[in-house]
Amino acid sequence: MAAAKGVAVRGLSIAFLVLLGAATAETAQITGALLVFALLMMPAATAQRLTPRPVASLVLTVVIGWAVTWAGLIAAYYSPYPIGFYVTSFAFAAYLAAHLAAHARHQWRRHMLAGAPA
Amino acid sequence: MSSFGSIFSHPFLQHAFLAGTAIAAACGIAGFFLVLRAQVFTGDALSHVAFTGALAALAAGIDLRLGLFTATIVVAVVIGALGRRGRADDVVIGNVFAWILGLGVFFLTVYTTSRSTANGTAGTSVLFGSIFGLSGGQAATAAVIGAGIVAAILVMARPLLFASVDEAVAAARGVPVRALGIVFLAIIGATAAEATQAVGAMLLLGLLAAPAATALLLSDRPFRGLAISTGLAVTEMWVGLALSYAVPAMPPSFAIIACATAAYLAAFAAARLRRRHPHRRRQAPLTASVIHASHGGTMASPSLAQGGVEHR
Repeated sequence: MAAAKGVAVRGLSIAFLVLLGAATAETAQITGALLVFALLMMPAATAQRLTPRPVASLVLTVVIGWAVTWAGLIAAYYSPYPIGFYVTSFAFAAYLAAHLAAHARHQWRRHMLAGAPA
Repeated sequence: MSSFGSIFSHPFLQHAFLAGTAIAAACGIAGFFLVLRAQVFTGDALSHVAFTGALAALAAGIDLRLGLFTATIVVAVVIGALGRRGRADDVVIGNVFAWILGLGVFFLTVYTTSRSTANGTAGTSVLFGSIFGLSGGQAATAAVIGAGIVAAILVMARPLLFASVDEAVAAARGVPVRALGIVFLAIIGATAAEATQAVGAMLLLGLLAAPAATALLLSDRPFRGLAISTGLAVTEMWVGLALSYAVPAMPPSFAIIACATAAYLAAFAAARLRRRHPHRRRQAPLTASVIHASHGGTMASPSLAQGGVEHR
Protein backbone atom coordinates (compact mmCIF):
# COMPACT_ATOMS: atom_id res chain seq x y z
CA MET A 1 0.00 0.00 0.00
CA ALA A 2 2.81 2.36 0.93
CA ALA A 3 4.76 1.30 -2.13
CA ALA A 4 1.68 1.94 -4.27
CA LYS A 5 1.44 5.44 -2.78
CA GLY A 6 4.98 6.20 -3.86
CA VAL A 7 6.77 5.74 -0.53
CA ALA A 8 10.38 4.67 -1.07
CA VAL A 9 9.94 1.44 0.89
CA ARG A 10 13.30 -0.12 0.11
CA GLY A 11 15.24 3.08 0.71
CA LEU A 12 13.44 3.63 4.00
CA SER A 13 14.19 0.06 5.10
CA ILE A 14 17.89 0.50 4.42
CA ALA A 15 17.98 3.88 6.14
CA PHE A 16 16.14 2.42 9.13
CA LEU A 17 18.55 -0.49 9.45
CA VAL A 18 21.53 1.85 9.29
CA LEU A 19 19.98 3.92 12.08
CA LEU A 20 19.31 0.74 14.06
CA GLY A 21 22.96 -0.19 13.73
CA ALA A 22 24.00 3.20 15.01
CA ALA A 23 21.51 2.97 17.88
CA THR A 24 22.86 -0.46 18.81
CA ALA A 25 26.41 0.85 18.90
CA GLU A 26 25.33 3.76 21.11
CA THR A 27 23.36 1.51 23.46
CA ALA A 28 26.29 -0.88 23.78
CA GLN A 29 28.23 1.86 25.50
CA ILE A 30 25.66 1.92 28.31
CA THR A 31 24.55 -1.64 28.78
CA GLY A 32 27.42 -3.49 27.14
CA ALA A 33 27.18 -5.41 23.88
CA LEU A 34 25.57 -8.42 25.54
CA LEU A 35 22.52 -6.58 26.90
CA VAL A 36 21.79 -4.19 24.06
CA PHE A 37 18.55 -6.03 23.30
CA ALA A 38 17.10 -4.96 26.64
CA LEU A 39 17.38 -1.22 26.17
CA LEU A 40 16.48 -1.42 22.47
CA MET A 41 13.42 -3.65 22.74
CA MET A 42 11.95 -3.57 26.21
CA PRO A 43 10.88 0.11 26.42
CA ALA A 44 9.30 -0.21 22.97
CA ALA A 45 7.53 -3.43 23.89
CA THR A 46 6.31 -1.82 27.12
CA ALA A 47 4.95 1.25 25.34
CA GLN A 48 3.19 -0.86 22.74
CA ARG A 49 1.52 -2.86 25.50
CA LEU A 50 0.22 0.34 27.05
CA THR A 51 -1.16 2.10 24.00
CA PRO A 52 -1.92 1.19 20.38
CA ARG A 53 -1.58 4.80 19.15
CA PRO A 54 1.73 5.09 17.21
CA VAL A 55 2.75 8.64 18.18
CA ALA A 56 1.82 8.15 21.83
CA SER A 57 3.70 4.85 22.00
CA LEU A 58 6.75 6.44 20.35
CA VAL A 59 6.83 9.21 22.95
CA LEU A 60 6.22 6.67 25.72
CA THR A 61 9.10 4.51 24.46
CA VAL A 62 11.51 7.42 24.67
CA VAL A 63 10.27 8.37 28.15
CA ILE A 64 10.51 4.80 29.47
CA GLY A 65 13.96 4.29 27.95
CA TRP A 66 15.17 7.52 29.48
CA ALA A 67 13.64 6.67 32.86
CA VAL A 68 15.16 3.18 33.10
CA THR A 69 18.57 4.50 32.02
CA TRP A 70 18.56 7.22 34.68
CA ALA A 71 17.32 4.76 37.29
CA GLY A 72 20.02 2.30 36.24
CA LEU A 73 22.74 4.95 36.41
CA ILE A 74 21.67 6.04 39.89
CA ALA A 75 21.33 2.48 41.19
CA ALA A 76 24.69 1.49 39.73
CA TYR A 77 26.36 4.50 41.31
CA TYR A 78 25.24 3.51 44.80
CA SER A 79 25.95 -0.22 44.51
CA PRO A 80 28.79 -2.45 43.26
CA TYR A 81 26.72 -4.09 40.54
CA PRO A 82 27.00 -3.24 36.85
CA ILE A 83 24.71 -0.76 35.15
CA GLY A 84 23.78 -3.21 32.37
CA PHE A 85 22.12 -5.46 34.90
CA TYR A 86 20.17 -2.57 36.47
CA VAL A 87 18.97 -1.13 33.18
CA THR A 88 17.86 -4.58 32.03
CA SER A 89 16.08 -5.30 35.29
CA PHE A 90 14.26 -1.96 35.44
CA ALA A 91 13.27 -2.24 31.80
CA PHE A 92 12.01 -5.77 32.38
CA ALA A 93 10.12 -4.68 35.51
CA ALA A 94 8.43 -1.94 33.48
CA TYR A 95 7.57 -4.48 30.78
CA LEU A 96 6.14 -6.92 33.29
CA ALA A 97 4.08 -4.18 34.94
CA ALA A 98 2.67 -3.11 31.58
CA HIS A 99 1.98 -6.73 30.62
CA LEU A 100 0.14 -7.38 33.88
CA ALA A 101 -1.77 -4.09 33.64
CA ALA A 102 -2.88 -4.87 30.09
CA HIS A 103 -3.89 -8.37 31.16
CA ALA A 104 -5.83 -7.02 34.17
CA ARG A 105 -7.58 -4.45 32.00
CA HIS A 106 -8.52 -7.19 29.53
CA GLN A 107 -9.87 -9.42 32.28
CA TRP A 108 -11.83 -6.52 33.81
CA ARG A 109 -13.40 -5.70 30.43
CA ARG A 110 -14.37 -9.31 29.93
CA HIS A 111 -15.88 -9.39 33.40
CA MET A 112 -17.89 -6.21 32.71
CA LEU A 113 -19.12 -7.56 29.39
CA ALA A 114 -20.09 -10.87 30.94
CA GLY A 115 -21.99 -9.07 33.70
CA ALA A 116 -24.08 -7.06 31.18
CA PRO A 117 -27.77 -8.02 31.06
CA ALA A 118 -28.40 -10.59 28.32
CA MET B 1 53.72 -24.55 12.06
CA SER B 2 53.78 -27.43 14.57
CA SER B 3 54.16 -30.97 13.36
CA PHE B 4 50.87 -32.85 13.35
CA GLY B 5 52.61 -36.03 14.38
CA SER B 6 53.04 -34.72 17.90
CA ILE B 7 49.55 -33.29 18.13
CA PHE B 8 48.30 -35.99 20.46
CA SER B 9 51.27 -35.97 22.79
CA HIS B 10 49.84 -32.99 24.64
CA PRO B 11 47.36 -33.96 27.38
CA PHE B 12 45.27 -30.82 26.89
CA LEU B 13 44.76 -31.79 23.24
CA GLN B 14 43.85 -35.35 24.12
CA HIS B 15 41.24 -34.02 26.53
CA ALA B 16 39.97 -31.50 23.99
CA PHE B 17 39.57 -34.11 21.25
CA LEU B 18 37.92 -36.60 23.61
CA ALA B 19 35.38 -34.12 24.96
CA GLY B 20 35.02 -32.31 21.64
CA THR B 21 34.17 -35.45 19.66
CA ALA B 22 31.42 -36.46 22.09
CA ILE B 23 30.06 -32.91 22.36
CA ALA B 24 30.03 -32.42 18.60
CA ALA B 25 28.30 -35.76 18.04
CA ALA B 26 25.65 -34.82 20.62
CA CYS B 27 25.12 -31.38 19.04
CA GLY B 28 24.93 -32.81 15.54
CA ILE B 29 22.41 -35.49 16.37
CA ALA B 30 20.22 -33.48 18.75
CA GLY B 31 20.52 -30.32 16.67
CA PHE B 32 19.15 -32.18 13.66
CA PHE B 33 15.83 -32.69 15.40
CA LEU B 34 15.97 -29.17 16.80
CA VAL B 35 16.11 -27.72 13.29
CA LEU B 36 13.59 -30.23 11.97
CA ARG B 37 11.11 -29.27 14.71
CA ALA B 38 11.76 -25.55 14.14
CA GLN B 39 12.78 -25.10 17.78
CA VAL B 40 16.07 -23.31 17.11
CA PHE B 41 14.82 -20.30 19.07
CA THR B 42 14.68 -22.51 22.16
CA GLY B 43 18.36 -23.24 21.63
CA ASP B 44 19.03 -19.51 21.60
CA ALA B 45 17.06 -19.01 24.81
CA LEU B 46 18.94 -21.89 26.45
CA SER B 47 22.27 -20.32 25.55
CA HIS B 48 21.34 -17.32 27.70
CA VAL B 49 20.23 -19.62 30.51
CA ALA B 50 23.50 -21.55 30.23
CA PHE B 51 25.52 -18.39 30.84
CA THR B 52 23.43 -17.36 33.85
CA GLY B 53 23.29 -20.86 35.33
CA ALA B 54 27.04 -21.32 35.13
CA LEU B 55 27.76 -17.95 36.71
CA ALA B 56 25.14 -18.41 39.41
CA ALA B 57 26.91 -21.63 40.39
CA LEU B 58 30.28 -19.89 40.45
CA ALA B 59 28.87 -17.04 42.54
CA ALA B 60 27.44 -19.60 44.97
CA GLY B 61 30.78 -21.34 45.20
CA ILE B 62 29.83 -24.66 43.60
CA ASP B 63 31.06 -26.41 40.44
CA LEU B 64 29.90 -24.36 37.48
CA ARG B 65 28.75 -27.45 35.61
CA LEU B 66 26.15 -28.09 38.31
CA GLY B 67 24.50 -24.72 37.75
CA LEU B 68 24.98 -25.02 34.01
CA PHE B 69 23.23 -28.36 33.59
CA THR B 70 20.54 -27.73 36.20
CA ALA B 71 19.54 -24.37 34.76
CA THR B 72 19.42 -25.47 31.13
CA ILE B 73 17.57 -28.73 31.75
CA VAL B 74 15.02 -27.17 34.14
CA VAL B 75 14.29 -24.22 31.86
CA ALA B 76 14.11 -26.52 28.82
CA VAL B 77 11.52 -28.69 30.55
CA VAL B 78 9.53 -25.60 31.60
CA ILE B 79 9.55 -24.34 28.00
CA GLY B 80 8.38 -27.76 26.83
CA ALA B 81 5.63 -27.96 29.44
CA LEU B 82 4.37 -24.42 28.80
CA GLY B 83 4.65 -24.77 25.04
CA ARG B 84 1.14 -25.85 24.26
CA ARG B 85 -0.66 -23.76 26.81
CA GLY B 86 1.02 -20.37 26.90
CA ARG B 87 0.51 -18.33 23.74
CA ALA B 88 3.68 -16.39 24.39
CA ASP B 89 4.94 -14.54 21.34
CA ASP B 90 8.50 -13.84 20.35
CA VAL B 91 8.64 -10.45 22.07
CA VAL B 92 7.73 -11.91 25.46
CA ILE B 93 10.23 -14.76 25.13
CA GLY B 94 12.95 -12.41 23.90
CA ASN B 95 12.41 -10.06 26.84
CA VAL B 96 12.41 -12.84 29.43
CA PHE B 97 15.66 -14.28 28.18
CA ALA B 98 17.27 -10.87 27.74
CA TRP B 99 16.56 -10.28 31.42
CA ILE B 100 18.01 -13.69 32.29
CA LEU B 101 21.19 -12.65 30.49
CA GLY B 102 21.25 -9.48 32.60
CA LEU B 103 20.93 -11.66 35.69
CA GLY B 104 23.99 -13.56 34.50
CA VAL B 105 25.95 -10.30 34.35
CA PHE B 106 24.89 -9.67 37.96
CA PHE B 107 26.20 -13.09 39.03
CA LEU B 108 29.42 -12.43 37.16
CA THR B 109 29.99 -9.31 39.23
CA VAL B 110 29.11 -11.12 42.45
CA TYR B 111 31.60 -13.83 41.52
CA THR B 112 34.45 -11.55 40.51
CA THR B 113 34.07 -9.28 43.51
CA SER B 114 33.84 -11.97 46.14
CA ARG B 115 35.11 -15.39 45.17
CA SER B 116 37.15 -15.41 42.02
CA THR B 117 40.67 -14.72 43.38
CA ALA B 118 42.74 -16.31 40.61
CA ASN B 119 39.96 -17.05 38.13
CA GLY B 120 39.41 -13.66 36.55
CA THR B 121 38.42 -15.02 33.16
CA ALA B 122 35.43 -17.10 34.23
CA GLY B 123 33.00 -14.89 32.31
CA THR B 124 34.99 -15.19 29.10
CA SER B 125 35.43 -18.93 29.33
CA VAL B 126 31.71 -19.48 29.93
CA LEU B 127 30.80 -17.16 27.06
CA PHE B 128 33.37 -18.43 24.57
CA GLY B 129 34.23 -21.93 25.72
CA SER B 130 37.33 -23.40 27.27
CA ILE B 131 37.83 -26.69 25.49
CA PHE B 132 41.61 -26.49 25.75
CA GLY B 133 41.28 -25.90 29.49
CA LEU B 134 39.49 -29.13 30.35
CA SER B 135 41.13 -31.48 32.82
CA GLY B 136 41.14 -35.22 32.25
CA GLY B 137 38.22 -35.72 34.63
CA GLN B 138 36.16 -32.93 33.07
CA ALA B 139 36.84 -34.25 29.58
CA ALA B 140 35.83 -37.77 30.59
CA THR B 141 32.58 -36.51 32.16
CA ALA B 142 31.79 -34.47 29.08
CA ALA B 143 32.48 -37.51 26.89
CA VAL B 144 30.20 -39.75 28.95
CA ILE B 145 27.35 -37.21 28.93
CA GLY B 146 27.80 -36.64 25.20
CA ALA B 147 27.67 -40.36 24.52
CA GLY B 148 24.57 -40.61 26.69
CA ILE B 149 22.86 -37.86 24.67
CA VAL B 150 23.70 -39.61 21.39
CA ALA B 151 22.34 -42.90 22.74
CA ALA B 152 19.16 -41.27 24.05
CA ILE B 153 18.44 -39.57 20.70
CA LEU B 154 19.10 -42.80 18.80
CA VAL B 155 16.61 -44.64 21.01
CA MET B 156 13.99 -41.92 20.49
CA ALA B 157 14.80 -41.30 16.83
CA ARG B 158 11.92 -43.11 15.14
CA PRO B 159 9.01 -41.93 17.31
CA LEU B 160 10.54 -38.47 17.56
CA LEU B 161 10.81 -38.20 13.79
CA PHE B 162 7.22 -39.30 13.39
CA ALA B 163 6.04 -36.83 16.03
CA SER B 164 8.12 -34.01 14.52
CA VAL B 165 7.07 -34.48 10.95
CA ASP B 166 3.39 -35.27 11.39
CA GLU B 167 2.28 -34.59 14.93
CA ALA B 168 -1.44 -35.21 14.59
CA VAL B 169 -1.09 -38.57 12.89
CA ALA B 170 1.61 -39.64 15.33
CA ALA B 171 -0.62 -38.76 18.28
CA ALA B 172 -3.49 -40.66 16.71
CA ARG B 173 -1.18 -43.65 16.30
CA GLY B 174 -0.38 -43.63 20.02
CA VAL B 175 3.01 -41.89 19.97
CA PRO B 176 3.37 -39.92 23.26
CA VAL B 177 3.96 -36.67 21.41
CA ARG B 178 3.86 -34.31 24.38
CA ALA B 179 6.08 -36.46 26.60
CA LEU B 180 8.53 -36.96 23.73
CA GLY B 181 8.62 -33.21 23.18
CA ILE B 182 9.46 -32.52 26.81
CA VAL B 183 12.09 -35.27 27.05
CA PHE B 184 13.63 -34.03 23.81
CA LEU B 185 13.87 -30.48 25.14
CA ALA B 186 15.47 -31.77 28.35
CA ILE B 187 18.08 -33.51 26.19
CA ILE B 188 18.59 -30.26 24.27
CA GLY B 189 19.15 -28.53 27.61
CA ALA B 190 21.88 -31.04 28.44
CA THR B 191 23.35 -30.66 24.93
CA ALA B 192 23.45 -26.88 25.29
CA ALA B 193 25.23 -27.24 28.63
CA GLU B 194 27.74 -29.64 27.03
CA ALA B 195 28.34 -27.28 24.11
CA THR B 196 28.99 -24.40 26.51
CA GLN B 197 32.15 -26.17 27.66
CA ALA B 198 33.34 -26.50 24.09
CA VAL B 199 32.36 -23.36 22.20
CA GLY B 200 30.78 -21.25 24.93
CA ALA B 201 27.28 -19.90 25.56
CA MET B 202 27.55 -17.26 22.84
CA LEU B 203 28.34 -19.73 20.07
CA LEU B 204 26.62 -22.96 21.06
CA LEU B 205 23.67 -22.14 18.81
CA GLY B 206 26.06 -22.38 15.87
CA LEU B 207 27.15 -25.88 16.81
CA LEU B 208 23.53 -26.96 17.39
CA ALA B 209 22.05 -25.47 14.22
CA ALA B 210 24.71 -25.24 11.49
CA PRO B 211 25.61 -28.94 10.97
CA ALA B 212 21.91 -29.82 11.10
CA ALA B 213 20.92 -27.12 8.64
CA THR B 214 23.75 -28.19 6.33
CA ALA B 215 22.60 -31.80 6.49
CA LEU B 216 19.02 -30.80 5.65
CA LEU B 217 20.32 -28.95 2.62
CA LEU B 218 22.27 -31.98 1.46
CA SER B 219 19.74 -34.74 1.94
CA ASP B 220 16.00 -35.28 1.95
CA ARG B 221 16.13 -38.59 3.75
CA PRO B 222 15.77 -38.07 7.50
CA PHE B 223 18.08 -40.79 8.80
CA ARG B 224 20.72 -40.02 6.20
CA GLY B 225 20.42 -36.37 7.22
CA LEU B 226 20.84 -37.41 10.85
CA ALA B 227 24.05 -39.27 10.04
CA ILE B 228 25.35 -36.40 7.89
CA SER B 229 24.60 -33.89 10.63
CA THR B 230 26.47 -35.92 13.24
CA GLY B 231 29.41 -36.66 10.96
CA LEU B 232 29.65 -33.04 9.85
CA ALA B 233 29.59 -31.75 13.41
CA VAL B 234 32.38 -34.11 14.49
CA THR B 235 34.46 -33.28 11.41
CA GLU B 236 34.00 -29.56 11.95
CA MET B 237 35.05 -30.00 15.57
CA TRP B 238 38.22 -31.90 14.59
CA VAL B 239 39.17 -29.44 11.87
CA GLY B 240 38.45 -26.52 14.19
CA LEU B 241 40.57 -27.96 17.00
CA ALA B 242 43.43 -28.76 14.62
CA LEU B 243 43.28 -25.26 13.11
CA SER B 244 43.30 -23.67 16.53
CA TYR B 245 46.30 -25.79 17.54
CA ALA B 246 48.15 -24.86 14.35
CA VAL B 247 47.33 -21.15 14.58
CA PRO B 248 47.64 -20.16 18.25
CA ALA B 249 46.07 -16.75 17.64
CA MET B 250 42.84 -18.47 16.62
CA PRO B 251 40.64 -19.45 19.57
CA PRO B 252 39.09 -22.93 19.24
CA SER B 253 35.46 -21.78 19.47
CA PHE B 254 35.99 -19.38 16.58
CA ALA B 255 37.72 -22.01 14.45
CA ILE B 256 35.01 -24.61 15.07
CA ILE B 257 32.12 -22.27 14.30
CA ALA B 258 33.96 -20.90 11.27
CA CYS B 259 34.23 -24.45 9.90
CA ALA B 260 30.54 -25.06 10.60
CA THR B 261 29.55 -21.84 8.85
CA ALA B 262 31.84 -22.54 5.89
CA ALA B 263 30.29 -25.97 5.44
CA TYR B 264 26.79 -24.49 5.58
CA LEU B 265 27.64 -21.77 3.05
CA ALA B 266 29.15 -24.33 0.70
CA ALA B 267 26.03 -26.52 0.92
CA PHE B 268 23.81 -23.46 0.47
CA ALA B 269 25.69 -22.36 -2.63
CA ALA B 270 25.59 -25.89 -4.01
CA ALA B 271 21.84 -26.10 -3.41
CA ARG B 272 21.30 -22.76 -5.18
CA LEU B 273 23.34 -23.90 -8.17
CA ARG B 274 21.52 -27.22 -8.26
CA ARG B 275 18.18 -25.44 -8.35
CA ARG B 276 19.26 -23.23 -11.22
CA HIS B 277 20.63 -26.10 -13.31
CA PRO B 278 18.51 -29.18 -12.56
CA HIS B 279 20.11 -31.68 -14.96
CA ARG B 280 19.63 -34.83 -12.96
CA ARG B 281 16.26 -35.90 -11.71
CA ARG B 282 16.86 -37.44 -8.30
CA GLN B 283 14.51 -40.23 -7.34
CA ALA B 284 12.73 -38.83 -4.31
CA PRO B 285 12.32 -41.46 -1.57
CA LEU B 286 9.00 -41.96 0.22
CA THR B 287 10.08 -40.01 3.27
CA ALA B 288 11.08 -36.98 1.21
CA SER B 289 7.48 -36.08 0.50
CA VAL B 290 6.75 -36.23 4.22
CA ILE B 291 9.71 -33.96 4.97
CA HIS B 292 8.66 -31.55 2.21
CA ALA B 293 5.17 -31.43 3.65
CA SER B 294 6.52 -30.59 7.07
CA HIS B 295 8.65 -27.75 5.66
CA GLY B 296 5.93 -26.29 3.50
CA GLY B 297 3.01 -26.72 5.84
CA THR B 298 2.44 -25.37 9.32
CA MET B 299 4.44 -27.02 12.06
CA ALA B 300 2.19 -27.63 15.06
CA SER B 301 0.15 -25.10 16.99
CA PRO B 302 1.63 -21.89 18.43
CA SER B 303 4.13 -22.84 21.04
CA LEU B 304 6.73 -21.22 23.23
CA ALA B 305 9.47 -22.86 21.27
CA GLN B 306 8.40 -21.71 17.82
CA GLY B 307 11.02 -20.21 15.60
CA GLY B 308 13.39 -21.54 13.00
CA VAL B 309 16.33 -21.27 10.72
CA GLU B 310 15.62 -20.58 7.08
CA HIS B 311 17.34 -23.47 5.39
CA ARG B 312 15.82 -23.45 1.91
